[in-house]
Amino acid sequence: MGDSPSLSRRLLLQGAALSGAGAAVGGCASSPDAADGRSRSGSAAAPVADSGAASASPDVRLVESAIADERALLDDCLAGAATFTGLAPVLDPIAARQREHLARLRAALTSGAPGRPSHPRRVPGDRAAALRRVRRSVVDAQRARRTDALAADSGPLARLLASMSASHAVTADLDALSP
Amino acid sequence: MSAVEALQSCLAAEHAALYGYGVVGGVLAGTTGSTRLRVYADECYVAHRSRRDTITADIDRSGETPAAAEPAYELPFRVTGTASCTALARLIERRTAAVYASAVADTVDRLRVIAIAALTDCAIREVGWGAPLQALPGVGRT
Repeated sequence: MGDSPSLSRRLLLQGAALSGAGAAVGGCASSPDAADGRSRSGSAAAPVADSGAASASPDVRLVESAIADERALLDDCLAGAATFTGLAPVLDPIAARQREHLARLRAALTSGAPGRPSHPRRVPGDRAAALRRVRRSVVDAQRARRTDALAADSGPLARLLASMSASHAVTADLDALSP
Repeated sequence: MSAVEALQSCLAAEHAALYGYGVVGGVLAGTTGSTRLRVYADECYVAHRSRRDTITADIDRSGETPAAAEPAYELPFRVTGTASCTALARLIERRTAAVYASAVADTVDRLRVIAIAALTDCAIREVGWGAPLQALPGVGRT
């Protein structure tokens, strides 16, 4: 298996967590959340290493899953651009953004291991189908990163994932990818 | 930053955005051949006003006093025609996106949902004004 052992991975993007432990040691005074009374202490201004929290935290698993997802979208773009030359101007910029997403996600973890290896993507038979596939993947990625952002315990991680979701939303809106 | 403080930052950003779009709309109204841009500016203004009202209501519910708009805001450059209007609109959306991205980090549940939606909307509008697509709207490069 190509999976890196989750036990060795830590999340670098730490913010004061919502868990009881995180709230108790938060340095900022918390105020009631305007919506539902739940509070959140101040978030970290810079990434800090996890000093020893439980391994394979939900946020670590979330990042690993996002890496696999974003990698699959990158592979779709690369396969489409390689197979249909005319698609390169559309897909290459998307691929570039995907590489940046992957770099930021990998940088969020302490382990340098790349995670699960990518698998060759089956390329649809024609140009239009290839574009539809990419657009579908982009829309799926938007929804997934949004879900991840809402679930993330770490504030800085939520911010990063929300930004990725927003990026996918813009990409999905491109005329070049529209059906 | 607390959730309410994050909301106040978002409200301040919306106040500034509305002021900026007021300037953009006014200049475009006097510019020949800018109907499409003027219509888009109006749509953006309405969207920001809606966000302002939502955030104001949330702060009210928390028992805090919503931040008031400034009587005027200093513009980063002179806005005199289509090009400068477009540039200002892009800047408004980029800066507002950054504020909402920060709010995502400082909120949970319903407020985080709002912050994510607002960040996304700002990213889409910035591109709508002709900005290049970014890999990480509101966050930028390291």
